Amino acid sequence: MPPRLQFSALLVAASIAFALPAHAAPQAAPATPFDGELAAAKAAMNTEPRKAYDHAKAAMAITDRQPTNAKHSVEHATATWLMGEAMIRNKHPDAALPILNEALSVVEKASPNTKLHGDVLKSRGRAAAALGKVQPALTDFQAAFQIYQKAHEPRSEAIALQEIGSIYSDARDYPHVLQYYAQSQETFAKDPVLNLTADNNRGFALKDMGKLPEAEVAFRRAYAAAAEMHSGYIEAHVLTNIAFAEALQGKPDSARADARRGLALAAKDPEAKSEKPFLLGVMAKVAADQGDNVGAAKLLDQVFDGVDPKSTPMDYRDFHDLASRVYEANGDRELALIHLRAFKRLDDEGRALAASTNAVLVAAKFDFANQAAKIATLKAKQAQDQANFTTIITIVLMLAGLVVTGLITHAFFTMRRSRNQIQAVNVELEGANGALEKALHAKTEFLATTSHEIRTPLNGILGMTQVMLADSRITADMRERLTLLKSSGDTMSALVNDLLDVAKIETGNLSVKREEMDLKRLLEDSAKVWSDQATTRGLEFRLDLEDCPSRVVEDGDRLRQVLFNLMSNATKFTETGWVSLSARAEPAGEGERLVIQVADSGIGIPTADYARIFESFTQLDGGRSRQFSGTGLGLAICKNVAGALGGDITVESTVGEGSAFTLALPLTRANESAGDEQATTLLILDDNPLAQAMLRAFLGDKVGRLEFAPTPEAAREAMARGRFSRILVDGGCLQRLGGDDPMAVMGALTGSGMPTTVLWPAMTDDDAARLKSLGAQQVLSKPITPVALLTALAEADQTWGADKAAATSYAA
Amino acid sequence: MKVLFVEDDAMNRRVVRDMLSVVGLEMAEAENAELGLAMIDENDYDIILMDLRMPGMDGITAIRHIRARTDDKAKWPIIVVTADTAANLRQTCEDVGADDFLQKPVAMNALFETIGKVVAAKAGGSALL
Repeated sequence: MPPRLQFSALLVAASIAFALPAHAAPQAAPATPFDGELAAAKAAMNTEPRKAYDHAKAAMAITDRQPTNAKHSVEHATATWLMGEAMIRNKHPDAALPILNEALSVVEKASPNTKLHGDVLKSRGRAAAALGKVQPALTDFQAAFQIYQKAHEPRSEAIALQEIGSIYSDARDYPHVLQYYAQSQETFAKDPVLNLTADNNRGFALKDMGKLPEAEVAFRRAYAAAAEMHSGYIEAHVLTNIAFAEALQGKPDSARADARRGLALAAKDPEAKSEKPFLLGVMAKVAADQGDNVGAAKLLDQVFDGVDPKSTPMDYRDFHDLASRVYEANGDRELALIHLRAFKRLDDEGRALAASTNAVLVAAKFDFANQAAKIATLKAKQAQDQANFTTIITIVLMLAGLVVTGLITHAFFTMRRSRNQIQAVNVELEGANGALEKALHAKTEFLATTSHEIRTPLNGILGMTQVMLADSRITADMRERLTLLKSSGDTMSALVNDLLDVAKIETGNLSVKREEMDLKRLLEDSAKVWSDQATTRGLEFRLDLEDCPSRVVEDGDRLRQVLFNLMSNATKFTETGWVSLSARAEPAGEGERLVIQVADSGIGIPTADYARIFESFTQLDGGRSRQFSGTGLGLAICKNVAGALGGDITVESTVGEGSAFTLALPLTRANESAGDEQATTLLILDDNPLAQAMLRAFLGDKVGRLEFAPTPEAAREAMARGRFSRILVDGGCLQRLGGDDPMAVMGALTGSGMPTTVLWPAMTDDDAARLKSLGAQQVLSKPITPVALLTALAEADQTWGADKAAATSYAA
Repeated sequence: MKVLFVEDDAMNRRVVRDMLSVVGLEMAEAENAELGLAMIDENDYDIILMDLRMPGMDGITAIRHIRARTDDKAKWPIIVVTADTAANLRQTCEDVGADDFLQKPVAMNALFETIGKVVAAKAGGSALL
């Protein structure tokens, strides 16, 4: 977590500190003991937060003894809020968060949209900001601002605006800093504390923007406000800022005079003493600027007296920089190096904070314009900058290592030479990285939200289409139209997934999930869909799965995704001829690999473009492919998915003759199901997909192999094709599909002599007799439990794979 | 079998109700998690379908509440149905005790397959075919 920038945070903290007594409203004699503790807590908040916590806790104890009502809730929330606020001031923002959450949950119910509600939110925002959680902090401050607006609390509105301004200040987004502080002053101009912080922090923004005279004016206005506060510390602090701005403008005399005024304050006011090192630092800068490095060094010795340069806060950054230059000029290279390192450390911290804060702010604002183009340029730039940066840092680190062995001089000069380069690269990097991060973050957010929003209506479209397709009463015409509708919906759904995957690829989060699966079945299912598509377009569809393994360990969803993209391209880019799908296992080194190929006789791809088609957002230009739609994401995703699965995808093509895409993956075979060798296979005639799923779950591991047929015709075809030891016929299915005499349909099926078990809904004795007379070997009444079904099947056929023990294992 | 679908979007409730009617399942519906929990208090269901993003209580919290019950209802099968694609979401659902996970748009077959699988696993031999 990056530390908060001390300079600006310090002043905002001051604004809240002074804000508290104001709304505590001095009370000569507190009305109740509770009010007394509350007033004491608020009074102690600035200077002794620990005491403030104790008072707030005492107030809470008093109010918690009262009966529970609305007044009690408000009092409870107030005391809790002050405990949280005290915790933040005690530098325990992590402990403050849960306390403030509690206060918030009470105040939201007891007195929503009041000043107290805003105050709790604001405190929670400050706790979050102190923990580096920029987004929640910003959200809380904005919410607090809106509540203050509703509650007509302009002074608090102004404070909330300043809190937001301080976040922008962390992000070094100076135009916004100026805007928020100006808005704060427009909202409420009567409070010297707020004017002080607004002017002072505007001064910082202007200074960092290089607008030094304007910065000085702002600091001077802050000083005018500070004079009204009768705080030596604040006066001295603002004097430091004024003097520094003057020194930077090359006004040594006034800079020195203002610094001396500050030092005089520090000498007589113990509160102001902490400002002394910085005032001395400004004096040192003036001396150094005038060429008096010896005098400057003496002053700097005092600045850093008793200070560990390895852990100085941000306030010291500029003085470390100064010290490294002054000590170097005096020949004290070891000390110079120490300060140069300290400067680098603080500089990096500030930069990191700015970059991360910026990213969050931009995500919050969100600007999606020209994103793709920006990302491309930034990426190139970042790669280049990163390379330069790494080289320089390596040199610096290597040479810094030599310091220990006495080669300080060499190392130091190298560092001095490199410093400007580092700075330059750093600045560029900051820009490039920040912008890139913003863009990527914004895009990921956008995609996630859009995907959710698209999926919801898509669920309606696809869902209703499937429901209509499941209705046997629709006409063939209607079925064809609905199938087209569903196919379009599926394509859209795949596109949304593709877009999400692109974001995952860019952030390195593409996930794969390998499981045991039936590869052959997956390819056959996919082939069914695409052979229909190909036939519709007048193309021949070729399928070769002869040497394809069945049981493998692989990510089925990812394979389906790659196949979808490849097959969809093949059909899209082929006008006449054929498309093909083949899969086979091949020996590779020690093991085996799986080779899946999708080929076509389509327009083809020029050799020069082989690499480019695998890049994101690329569709080959030129008249030939303009006529084809598509995002151009598909192949880029396929390439990345192939990589994530440990393989690769390649293309071979001849323009005008066709293309062949080959996916090659490491092959891990799973145990072939024992059922393939044994004859204990069960054919189930049932059109209810839910019943199928349940039967598969119940019987799947008890039976060698299960095959389902949704219609009597499909059952007949299956029996003609494969060997089954038994057919299980669902009577409900026959009643739905079997026409006038469903039992006769059953009879036609058993005519082949196949052992048959029939499940008949609410079977009567007459039903049973007729079914038996028609050839059913076993008749069972529905509904039935799976245990009973298994037991019955085992009894009917002793060669049955599932014995009684297996059946009873369910009952246990 | 009776299904309870907790989902704030009326269109989605309608779609799943119609899908379930294809296989003859009856569906009760709750438009928010609070109502869903109250309905679970009052009635018996064989399976619960749960959306995640809802106004008021979210689906994850609702699942926690169900799993924290002291009666048999704590073990009822729960399938998450969501359009959310956040990373690790599946894991989060698993962690709070959801039995399975369906991504919107929901394929009808996947719905049946998942219900069948979950009911078979949970109810064991006592379910009715």
